[in-house]
Amino acid sequence: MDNIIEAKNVSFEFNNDDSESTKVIIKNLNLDIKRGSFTCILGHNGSGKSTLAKLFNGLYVPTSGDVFVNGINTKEEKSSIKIKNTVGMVFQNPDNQIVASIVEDDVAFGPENLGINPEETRKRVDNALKTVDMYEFRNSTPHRLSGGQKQRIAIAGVIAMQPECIVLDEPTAMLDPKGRQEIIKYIEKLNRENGITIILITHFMEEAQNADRVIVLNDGLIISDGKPKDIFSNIRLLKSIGLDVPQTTELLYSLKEKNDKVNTHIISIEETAEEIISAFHLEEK
Amino acid sequence: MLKDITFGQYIETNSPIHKLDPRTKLILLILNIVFLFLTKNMYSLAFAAVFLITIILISKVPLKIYLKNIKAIWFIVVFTSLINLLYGKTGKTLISFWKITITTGGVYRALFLALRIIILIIISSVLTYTTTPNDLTDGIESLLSPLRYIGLGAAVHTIAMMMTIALRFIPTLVDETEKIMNAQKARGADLENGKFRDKIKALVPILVPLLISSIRRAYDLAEAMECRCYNGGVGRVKMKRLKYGLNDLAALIVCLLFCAGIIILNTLFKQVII
Amino acid sequence: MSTILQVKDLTHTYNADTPLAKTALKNISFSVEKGEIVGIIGHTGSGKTTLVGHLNGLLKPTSGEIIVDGKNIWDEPKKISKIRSLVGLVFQYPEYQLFEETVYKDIAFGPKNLGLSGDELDNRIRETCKAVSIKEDLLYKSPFDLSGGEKRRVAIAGVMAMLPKILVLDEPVAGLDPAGRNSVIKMIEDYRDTYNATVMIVSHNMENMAQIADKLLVMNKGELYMYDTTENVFKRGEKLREIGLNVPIVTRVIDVIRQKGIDVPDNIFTVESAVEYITSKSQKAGGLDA
Repeated sequence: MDNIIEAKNVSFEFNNDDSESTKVIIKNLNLDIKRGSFTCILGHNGSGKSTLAKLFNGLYVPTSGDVFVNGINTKEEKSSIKIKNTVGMVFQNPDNQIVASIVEDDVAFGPENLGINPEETRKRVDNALKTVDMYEFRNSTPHRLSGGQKQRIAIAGVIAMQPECIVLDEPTAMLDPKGRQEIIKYIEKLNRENGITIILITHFMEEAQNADRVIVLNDGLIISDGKPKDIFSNIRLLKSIGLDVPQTTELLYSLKEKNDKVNTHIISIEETAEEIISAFHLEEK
Repeated sequence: MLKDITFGQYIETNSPIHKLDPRTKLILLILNIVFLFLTKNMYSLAFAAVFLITIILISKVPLKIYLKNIKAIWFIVVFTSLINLLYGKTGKTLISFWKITITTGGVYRALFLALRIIILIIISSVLTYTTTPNDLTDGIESLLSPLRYIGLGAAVHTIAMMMTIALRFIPTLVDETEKIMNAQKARGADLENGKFRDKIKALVPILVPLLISSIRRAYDLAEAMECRCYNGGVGRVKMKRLKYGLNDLAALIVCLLFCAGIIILNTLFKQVII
Repeated sequence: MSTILQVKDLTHTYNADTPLAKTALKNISFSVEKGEIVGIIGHTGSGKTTLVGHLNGLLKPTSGEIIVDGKNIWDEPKKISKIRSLVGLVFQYPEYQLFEETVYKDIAFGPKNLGLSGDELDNRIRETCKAVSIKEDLLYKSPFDLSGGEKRRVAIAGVMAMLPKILVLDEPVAGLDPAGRNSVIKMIEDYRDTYNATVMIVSHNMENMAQIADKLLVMNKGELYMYDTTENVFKRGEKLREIGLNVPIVTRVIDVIRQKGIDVPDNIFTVESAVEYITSKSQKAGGLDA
């Protein structure tokens, strides 16, 4: 089977307790996630991206339509644990997903729930902590760590369950720039070296630049789907739905209005500089 | 600070007592307390005191720290002693005026009880000084686990899980309270002055945001736990299993000797104070 | 221009006189003029938050002085809470401190604590909201029904309504989307312009700083590393990189162009100025294709 997750005609509605109104958050969405791929889902706050994340591992079940994980429908109550073991989740606020007050105890929480034997759990915990370079902190209390370090612990907690896929719901939103870079580095490493399928949900476009595929979500609908460079070239669209555009892209886009030859498919600083030099014939005097 | 509750009153000195299994420490503490209450005369109580001093020395935690605990309960010690001083009617009469008579028996009784309470408090703090709250939680869960045979397994697990989460979140909530207090102070909130009623009113701007954020955290945590395959503890296997060692056996033997000593001294010296 | 804030030789040690003593600020001195927007940048743990806590008397200096509007704020320690009407402090994620049933009541909390009531209070709220473009119909909604960006704006307005002469904001745009970010930045500029107030902003975002700050104060390991105009600080990218900070991305692009042997000026920090410069230079060279 080539797809690890398949969403078919998925809609999700949310009932407000105090009113009769229902809010449609995901609208008839179809999406397949390839095994081993790195997919980035971009969307602004309120685009439905967090809801979509929770549909991927059965935390939410669709109001209509189906989500399949490895061919198993997330509606099947009895497979709930198996699905959550296959698709792990990392959330935005690292503080709210750490259960134990000792780092290694927290990382062990998942495997312990799965009933893994203690020796194997110990091995998994050590490996997971080494993967995110937090092994030396195994006996610390999470409270004293930085935001980025806490988020690494949260990731280790998921790795220790040995999932095939990890969904990360805005894992960097509450971190400082240094913490943000760190986390993205580890996410990319997990995909590349451990072969884990990654679904990264974010509103920072820069974080999507190394993904295999970028999906843009707006108002519960997929409005764009493709390779990062193709998606990023359509800046007008991305800006119109309130996404964060890297300053390099912003610069090239503004320059394109003056000179149509400018290629806006670029994100890196080096390439941007080269593009400007060649498009505007800036030569050494 | 409350923030450091993860370590509670724990003091790291790496003594042989620290290395004991928390279950051993819990059981031995209970044994100790029971036999402390069985002491009947000054001899067996003195023996208990000597035993306690030995334990304090082994724990390597400075005596000063233990004595701090007594400061907190001096009122109870004095009050109990006074009551007993007045009610003891045995022995020679020392002073007698109005309706009050103080006898030698009363004095003995008062001293005896004061000492017993002090020993009780100190022996209990040996446990908290040498065991982290996490280990204590694990120990309690493990000791209570036989309750599963009468269908209370889930309850025991739930209580232990709640203790674990409380220990984890108290420092976070303390931080958060501090932040909200500062934020409202910056908006001119006066938290120190005013009458009792004003003070209660001043709590609203702190408690409401704190409550809202705690509920949000609780939801988030519940989802995160569910995502990590938690389903109420069914089929859960802990990575760290408590294991008894030879040191635990040794501690048990020492403790049993202590119990035996109390009984022997109680029977050897018939002079009974209580 | 006149000086509104002077910090003289400020040192702060946490847990002083204990083995856990940790010096968070070392001999900080600087002054800020009326109407300026000063950015405070530095890594997590560089002392930014400790510095900000001193400005309105939440923290007391271990040594040194803080002089606001010509008066040492610790001259009368009992009246320290008065300083809070002079220096308004907006914490990170201020929307988490909202607690009232309506936006109006929440914004009223600060001015009420200053002793305002009746028409005066009502006028103050409406006037401030108008100045920073918070719409009237928002005032009677519950703050908890607003979107993230709106909540943030309402929370900031709650401090602005106290009309502080110095407004200090810790990461005011963190976690917002571009639209929310722009509206918060606009609101801060509006406040400064309407009341000729001084603004100090703590932020990690150099691009936003380039956009809004007149001066930058750079903190590193509890010391004042640099304090100069935004232009002068960003011209010294090398010195910023030494402590792990950097210049705005657009400036880095310009730097790369310069490294390739092309003569470009060193005062380009925003996309607008970069576009302007590149197109004008290209036209001069006749490089822009018609």
